[in-house]
Amino acid sequence: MAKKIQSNIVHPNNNSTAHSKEKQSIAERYLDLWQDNIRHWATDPAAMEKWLADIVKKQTKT
Amino acid sequence: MSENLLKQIRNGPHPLGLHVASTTNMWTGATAAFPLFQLGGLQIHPDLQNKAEDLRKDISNHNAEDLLPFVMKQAQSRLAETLAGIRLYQYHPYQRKVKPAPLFHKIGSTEILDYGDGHQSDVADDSPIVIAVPSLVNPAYILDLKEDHSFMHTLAEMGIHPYLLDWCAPEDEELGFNLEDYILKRLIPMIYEVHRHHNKKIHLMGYCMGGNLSLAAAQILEDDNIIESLTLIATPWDFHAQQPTHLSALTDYFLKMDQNDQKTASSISDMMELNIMQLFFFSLDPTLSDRKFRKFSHFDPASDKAENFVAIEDWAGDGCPLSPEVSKDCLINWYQKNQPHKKCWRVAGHVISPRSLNIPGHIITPTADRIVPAASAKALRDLLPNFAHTTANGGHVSMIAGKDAKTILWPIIASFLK
Repeated sequence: MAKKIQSNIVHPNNNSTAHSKEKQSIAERYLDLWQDNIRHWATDPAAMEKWLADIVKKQTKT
Repeated sequence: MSENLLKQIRNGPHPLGLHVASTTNMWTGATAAFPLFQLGGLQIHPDLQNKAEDLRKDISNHNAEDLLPFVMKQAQSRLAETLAGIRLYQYHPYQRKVKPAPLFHKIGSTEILDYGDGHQSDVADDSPIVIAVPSLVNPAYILDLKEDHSFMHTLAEMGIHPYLLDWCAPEDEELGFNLEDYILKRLIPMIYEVHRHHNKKIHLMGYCMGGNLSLAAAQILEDDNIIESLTLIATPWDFHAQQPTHLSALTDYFLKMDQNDQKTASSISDMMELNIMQLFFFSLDPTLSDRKFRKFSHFDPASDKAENFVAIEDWAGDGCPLSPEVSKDCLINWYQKNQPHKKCWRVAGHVISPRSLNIPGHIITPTADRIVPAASAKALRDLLPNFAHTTANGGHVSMIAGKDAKTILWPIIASFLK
């Protein structure tokens, strides 16, 4: 029993928990960036125009 | 869901399908695109390049396959939160039950309400008289949102005698009105009525496109010397400034719909449907709805904050359809031709020119306005260098009706009027 309880205690240096937290934080940062990226493109007409023009230029080259 | 949230009160936000589909696409798309992002194949906006690079570096320290379940779980959780926020909004028990202010005068369907009535202890004979002019698009009650959160009543408590112009739903005569008709046949006669009653000059205060209408009225009435000052809140002027890329295509499409409707005599040509306006507002920032409702899902439903959110959302989804000629004036003469900024917006033979105004005024521009971009309002501010200027925190609506407006912006506006 003592062993079981011991195994459930989260140690601050427990590598797998630390890794999980880091992965979770990366996932959150990615999703924030994803939404922010959509918002930036949608609300920045000049950048959007440039992006579209660049795509068309690339496509006509190929 | 608590006991108070058992009954569905509303079925918005409108159009509901668009809001739900958009948030679903956003988060399923984010998950699907994660491998593409890792490989550097996602088109990132220039302002976010550094952030994206930092993230990619951190991702490279991990096994990509190990990260994907975390992204999936987080994305699902965000989607669930937004949908919960929408559900919470639909079931929230708040319903606006504000006693209407006494009717002062009515012309056609347009009403002017007297908010000084009932405030006899605050409002005196020498109190400044102000007429608030809202937009034609959404209801006037944004300026009298809740019993405990009313800009109009707060002005009266501050010793100002406020009147609120309520355009109401267009009826027989107004269905044929364009913007000029609303200014000449409704706004100006109402200003005269209030002026005659008090025999005092009037402070005119326009919110959003109500500012454009007030500006035109102030210019036309300048020789009559009955306007004391002009306050312009979140008023657009340069309709091409910071215009979303898709807006021109959208206005073309609306106009095409209108032409088709005229051929088939269906209902859209009679009045601009409210959902079309909602579609337009949604298109200004397609991520706003998700962020807003996700945040709302964490509010305590019994809190003032939650009730204010619901009150403003209800207002945003409410409103009367516009008359066809007003829709065309806004879409063609304002959004397409940019007549005000190009100095060719004419009302009653006057080219409306802010620079020519010789009355004192106050111009208020919000910091984060998506409906009226900062550059559009700034163009007007540049033409009114003698006007006092206030930058207000918040968006187009939260600035004037948000929970902080009572302590921040309303006293500033009142102080100018006094």
